[in-house]
Amino acid sequence: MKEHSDKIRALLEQLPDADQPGRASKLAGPPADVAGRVAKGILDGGRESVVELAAMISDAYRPRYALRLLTLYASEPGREKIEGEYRAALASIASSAEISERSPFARRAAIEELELIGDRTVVDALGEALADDDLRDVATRALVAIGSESAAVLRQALKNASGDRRAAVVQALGTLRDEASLESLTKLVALDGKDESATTLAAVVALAQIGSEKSISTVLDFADRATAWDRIQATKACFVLAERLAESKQTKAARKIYSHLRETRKDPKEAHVRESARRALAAM
Amino acid sequence: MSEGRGSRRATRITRRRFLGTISATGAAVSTFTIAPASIIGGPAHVAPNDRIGAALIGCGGRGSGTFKDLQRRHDLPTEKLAVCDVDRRRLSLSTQIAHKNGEKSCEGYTDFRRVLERTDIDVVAIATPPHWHALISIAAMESGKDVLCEKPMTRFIAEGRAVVQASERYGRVFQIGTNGRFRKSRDKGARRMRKILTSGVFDITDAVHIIKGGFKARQWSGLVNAEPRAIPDWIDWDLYQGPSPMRPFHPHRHGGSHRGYWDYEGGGLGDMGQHYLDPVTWEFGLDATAPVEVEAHAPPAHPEVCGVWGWVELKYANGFTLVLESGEWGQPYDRRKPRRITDQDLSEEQRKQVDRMPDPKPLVDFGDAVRTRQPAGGNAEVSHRTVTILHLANIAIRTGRKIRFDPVTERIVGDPEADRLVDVPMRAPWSL
Repeated sequence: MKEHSDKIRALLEQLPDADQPGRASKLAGPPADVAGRVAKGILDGGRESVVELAAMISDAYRPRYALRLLTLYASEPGREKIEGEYRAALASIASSAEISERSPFARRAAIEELELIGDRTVVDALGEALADDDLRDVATRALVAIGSESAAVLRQALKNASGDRRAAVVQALGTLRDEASLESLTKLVALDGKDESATTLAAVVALAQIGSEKSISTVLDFADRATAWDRIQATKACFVLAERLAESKQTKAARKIYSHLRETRKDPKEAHVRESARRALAAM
Repeated sequence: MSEGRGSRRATRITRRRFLGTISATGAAVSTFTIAPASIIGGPAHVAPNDRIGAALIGCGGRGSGTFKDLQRRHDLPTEKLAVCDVDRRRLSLSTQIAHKNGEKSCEGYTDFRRVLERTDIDVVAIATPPHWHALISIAAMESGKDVLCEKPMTRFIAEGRAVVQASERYGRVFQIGTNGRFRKSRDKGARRMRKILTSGVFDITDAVHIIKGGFKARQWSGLVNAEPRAIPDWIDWDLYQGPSPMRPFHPHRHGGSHRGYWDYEGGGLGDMGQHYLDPVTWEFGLDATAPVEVEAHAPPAHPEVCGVWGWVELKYANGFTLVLESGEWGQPYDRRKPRRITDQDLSEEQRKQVDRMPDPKPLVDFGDAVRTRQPAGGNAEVSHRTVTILHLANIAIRTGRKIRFDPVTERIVGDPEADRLVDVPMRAPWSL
């Protein structure tokens, strides 16, 4: 371990200091060849070397910056083997509680890098990080960035989540347009938990994004009874659902939504909604 | 700080109510105290004595200037009904100034959602940091309001497309707060250039336009080793961060210097670029497309902090090359020389073809767009195309790789890592 850390420290010294050493200041930026040399030198040390670098992350800029250099180096075309090994090292850091004792920033930094280069091989590690309140948001971002291969992990997380975590997971499933979540999300809307209004609204929006005809009544009913900000967002969900249905050639279903909005939004305060629905119908 | 709603709301006749009724029936109903549009002017004319309820969201920096532009530059008879900022010091000051100026109905809010719920507000001026521009613009249009938004329009490419969709879906006017496009559209030489380059009669593979300097790359880069501070009691830090990842507080992340962090903006390039490129995309007819190939000369980028860069070369499918050069890092750009197309490059027949083309239509000012419901000259689509150039430049800087972009799907081709910077996930509960 000491051998790794000594080598890494020597490599980090090759990176220029921030432009005003000793105080908060700006990145001077190393030339690409120096950055590449530092990244290669660290990656040559394998998983242990990456973990050691992550454990060094602090308020000082070099270790965190160097981790990004590894990401940029490893993701260059033609370096798929290095990238795979590096990705696995990041996943092990992301799911390691022990490393937090050495650096409170390590897990978060690894997850931030996985937002850029994560794939299906790291979704379980990110799923574990979802349970940590401090990491939940970055882990959710990384899972969404990875795409539909994250959906199963998010669906699993939904079963045990509550409060803000549940709202974040629901939003992620909507962004991924995960059809397999349709039933769970519909149930969440039906629950309409008074202490989880953000989750209910997120579930309505997610159902709209998924774009199933089965969600029409759920989304319209919620929008009809919602008020204030929730009504604005739920009405948007109605339009999004109609647009998704129209995209998939379910014209009749889309017309049903637009007609409903045109017929029910009669208050002058919602004239723009009625007019938008009228225009959409005319364009179909 | 008061967060109540205007008591005048119940009795006030809003412009939107007026326009909405006209739109639905073709004429204003007789109970309105303002004259029917069919008598005064166009189909959605605002009567001279009618006041338009307006709000300012984001009271720092450009806030007051952007709001004043509604009246001064765009000739809209606005009445300031609300100001909003997550910084309670600024909010208090802004509210006090409004009251001192006789705008007694103006109320202060820390949460923009409460402003957008108000149905007596028809126009919103947005001058928050850019990570909020798209979300607030979209939400404002969803609640039926027209939007004048400060530059840069967005923080990443997918946000821009979502703003365009919202503008189209709700038939709302969106205008970005830059004016170079308008100036350029009145210039005779630029109008001729636009005609030549959009004529389709001329091969422009060797046209090169270089913009050098003024990007404030170093000035608007962030601090890489700033130690976190306690969150002050005057700011709602969670709402400030909004869709961006939650970070520890540091004063450099707020109050103008936010420009130096990817969480909020794209450095000096992202900030100044829309000013410089808005006239360029108009003059060279690039406002319906995007570069297809982008390469940057820059040091490897920091994950959180926008840093210095040297130059970025962006090529369009029609061969037009655009170069942005900071002059603040690395080797000067020396691949190509500026090459301006002129009438001399055209054959006699080509010149005649261009002569026969109609002149570009005058751009519609924001105020006229609000009054007539036409798209504004700096509408969402053209503004999105301009800011896309800057986002692509920054993606090339951040990845250190030559990237290829599809202007139709608006995705990066053959580079999944770079493509993830096109559509960045948002922190719940915020989403596009």
